[in-house]
Formats: sequence, C-alpha cells, structure tokens
Amino acid sequence: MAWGKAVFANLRARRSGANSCFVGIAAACLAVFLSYAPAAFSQETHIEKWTGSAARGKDLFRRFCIGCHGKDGDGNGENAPWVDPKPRDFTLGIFKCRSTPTGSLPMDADLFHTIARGIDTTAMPSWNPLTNQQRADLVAYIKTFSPRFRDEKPDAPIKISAETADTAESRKRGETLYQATLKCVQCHGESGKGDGPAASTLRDDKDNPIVPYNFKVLSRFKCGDTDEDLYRIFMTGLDGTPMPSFADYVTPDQAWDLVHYLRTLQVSYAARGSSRVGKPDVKAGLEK
Amino acid sequence: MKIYKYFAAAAIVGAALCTSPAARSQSTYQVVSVSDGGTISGIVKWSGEKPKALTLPVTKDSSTCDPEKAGTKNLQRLEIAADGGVANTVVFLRGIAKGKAWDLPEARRSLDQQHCTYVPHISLVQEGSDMSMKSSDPILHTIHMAGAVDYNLPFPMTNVTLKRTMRRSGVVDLKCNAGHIWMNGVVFVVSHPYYTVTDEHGAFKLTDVPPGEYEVVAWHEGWRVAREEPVLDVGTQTKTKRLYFSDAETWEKKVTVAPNGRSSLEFTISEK
Repeated sequence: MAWGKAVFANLRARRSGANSCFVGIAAACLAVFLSYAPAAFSQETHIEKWTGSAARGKDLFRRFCIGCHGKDGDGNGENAPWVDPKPRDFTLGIFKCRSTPTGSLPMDADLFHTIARGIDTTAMPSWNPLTNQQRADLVAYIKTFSPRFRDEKPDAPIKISAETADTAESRKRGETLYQATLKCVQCHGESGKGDGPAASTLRDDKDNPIVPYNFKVLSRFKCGDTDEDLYRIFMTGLDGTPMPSFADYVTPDQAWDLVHYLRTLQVSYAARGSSRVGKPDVKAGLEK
Repeated sequence: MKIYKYFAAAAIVGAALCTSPAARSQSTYQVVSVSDGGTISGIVKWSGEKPKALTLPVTKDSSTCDPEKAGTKNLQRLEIAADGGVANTVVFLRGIAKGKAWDLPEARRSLDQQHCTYVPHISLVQEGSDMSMKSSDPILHTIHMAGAVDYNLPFPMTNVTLKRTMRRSGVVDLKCNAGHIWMNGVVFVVSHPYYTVTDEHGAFKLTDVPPGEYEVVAWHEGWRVAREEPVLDVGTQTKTKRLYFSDAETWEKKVTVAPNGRSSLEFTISEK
C-alpha cells in the first residue's frame, strides 16, 4: 500500500509529463492489484505439494458439497434438515478435527485430511474419489466462508511423541486416568458406551443434541482411526462439540496410557488382536 | 487529461480498498495520561413488578452443587436487589479510542467454578490478554466457550489454574457440559478499559474519563424465557427442562464529561 501511495505521488509529480496517462494506467493497475493481493493470499492453500485455488474449489463445492453445507457454507443446504449431526457451518471457522489446540483454527492439512477421510458416524462421506488437487482446491474455498481465516493464524499443532509400550501396566494407568483422574467416565460411561451421567445433557455449539463416542460399538473415530488420531482427539478436543481438550492435564506418556486403555474398550478393535495387524492406514489412497 | 483523472481516481479507490481495515479485531485503543478526567457514576434500576427468580433443579452432583439442599440453582440471569438495583449489568463507553491505562479488576479476569456456579457471573478481560480459570469443586466441570472465542476446557481436578489468551473482542457465553445445565456465565473480551459491571445494588462507576461527549451503554443478558424444552436426565431418570433465553439487550444514554467533572446517570430496566 505504501507502494500505491508512492506511485500516486510520482504520478502527481509528473502530471504535466507526456506519459502521465501511461503512468496513470500503471498506477491504477498496481493499486487494483494491491487491493486484491490480501484476498488472493487467503484464497490459496499449500498442502504438501498441492496448491489449492478457491476459484476452482468453488466449482467443486457447488458440485459436491452444496447439498448439505449450503451455498453460503453455513450448513443450511437442502439436505440439512434430514442430516444428524448437522453439516458443519463453515462461517464459524470452528472445526472438530484439528491438529491445533482448542480455540484455534485448523491447519489446511487438517481440512484436507477430513475431506479425504470423511467423518465416521455422520453423513460426511469420504471424498477419496476426488484427487488431492481437488481436495486442496476445496480447502481453499471452504476457508473463504469465515473471516477468521483472514484475520487469524492457526496455533502450532500439538506434538505427538513416539508411542510407549502397550503393556498391562500402561493400560491400568490409562484406566485410572479415564475412570478417576480425568473423569472421562462422566460422559463416556464406565464401560465406554457413551452412557455416563452427563451424557444425556450434551448439546453441540448449535444447541443440537449430541451423544458421546461409544467405544463398545464403534471402531473408528470422527477424526481418524489410528492411535495417533486417538491421542490427538483428546489433546485437541473436538471444537464445536462438548469434547474438551485435555492437553493441560496429561503428559505424553499418560496420553499413550490413555490410548492403550481406550483401545481395550473397543470390542471391535481388540478383536483384531494386539499385533495391530490390519490397522487401517489413513493415508491409503491419498496418492492420486 | 480526463483519462488521466479517471485512472488517478481508480488508483485512489484501489489504494483505499487495499488499506480498508476489513473488520480486523485488533485493538486500536491508545493509553494516554488522563490528568483532568471525570467520573461517570450511576445506577441500573428495575422498574415494575419483580419477576420470579429463574431456577433449575439440581439433577447432578448435589452434594457439591447444592450443599444447602435447596433443590434448585438460581441461574443468576437477573439479580434484582431489595432496593431495585440490577446487578450484573455491563456498563461501558461506546467507541472510546484513547484514555486511561488498563485497570480491569483482577477479580473479573479470574474465573472460578464454585458449587457449580461461575464466579464471577460476568467477566471482563482485555482483548489479547490471558483469562485464568480454575475449579474449586471436586467434580468434573468444563468451560465451553461460544462466541468471540471458543476454547473448550475441562476441569477434572480442583485448583488447577488454566490460562488462555482471549484473542478476539466480543461476548463469550460459558456453559458446562458435565451435566450442570444451569451453569451459565458471560465473558466480555474488551478493546478498551472503560467497562464495568454493576454491583449487587445496581451501582456502577467509570473513572478517569477524558473530558468530552460519550455514549454510555448498559448491557444486560437476556432473562426472559423464550422457550422451554423437556429433558429426561437418563442418569437419574429425572424429568427436567432446558431453558432458552431472549437475546441480550442494551440501553444507551449520552453524557458530557467536564474536566474533573462528575456525571451521574440512571438506567431503568423493565419487563417490557
């Protein structure tokens, strides 16, 4: 913007010059370019080796996403009345599946992976049939719905340390965290069925009823299905839902203890055996 | 020359677009020394018949939440004293750009959870500064913020203080997801220090106001029940209800502050 002013001053100084008209055009072009520059900045995303464009993303959004998320991205698409939980309202800039702490915007890659993975137990399918380039374009467009992406930067992602040994002692320590120290039991229930004493009162940010995760029945989570995903979920919390961030209370070792215990609650996961053979790879199918 | 003027105008418009602040939330308040500042004090009063206190039954953790065994919790949505003063009203100057140093009281920046109630009910925090939060109750609480900022933090143990930066100005509603549906509170994240909250008699005072004309705003959270929803608490098999409230309301008055002057104001709130 200082540039724009400088060119304009230059232009005034040369107002009697023969080429003032030419300079005027140049100044106008520069000023117009500068005025769009901040917008252009927020309308592009860089995820791994893909550069997403909001303009291309808009076409994709109107083809694939508008039915639920609505043309304004506010979650009021024509399918929304029949969808539970409700489609995400992108105008709020609040997202469940993040690598960043509670209260922060997500990283672009978080949105990218959510689109690829879909959200288990909801109407949001996996968009793996789209290419990585298309998903990057969608991320760029989704970010235009909320001014938060223009005004704020995401906080640094939480760190996930190397997994500790999954032993009986580790699971026991995890059980104590779940049942007593962190009081996860209040919502998720003693056996992980999602029937804790506070469960029936839960509402999401849009005041719609929402149920806690049922470990007994489900094998995947809304935000992924690896041990790292599970670790990340209780460290970042799922913003927009009642699930808070426990990052202030657990050390990395304790977090792994909790992961090891939570896996024992998942009947369908435990059935696959402790060797973790067949553990789904979240990145599978991403290379297109 | 005409063409030149046209493009020069385009350049100016372009430059203006480029510099427009685009509603950024960063504070522009400037601290200056205020030597001849005045005081605006006054009272917020209730007019008409006092409505019944809003309460909800204690359906969970009653030994902690309700040690006096009242059976219900007051929502603190509308606190009217015997003398008619209305507590918990936020009074502030609209759009003041410079003035005194930040002096929001510490007690309004530190939130506690006591007997399943947010203390204070209304908090005032400077935009971009930290708010500290803790729980005095030996049960699970969560502070789930919605509005200008959206942290969601659990408090599974007593007297652990968490701090978070309140990065955007605006109103933040608080709720607890640990089954205490009566818990509610409000945080004002503010961009200048001329904010105060009325005491239990409805009294307020704004000090060190630079001489000039101001719009004084009184804000009160919604207290009318807009609708009710029946809820069955599965844990205790108790039928209870969830209340939804009317929007917050504001009242405005103009005031002129003379050098070292004392201005006084009265706001009246009523059911209508």
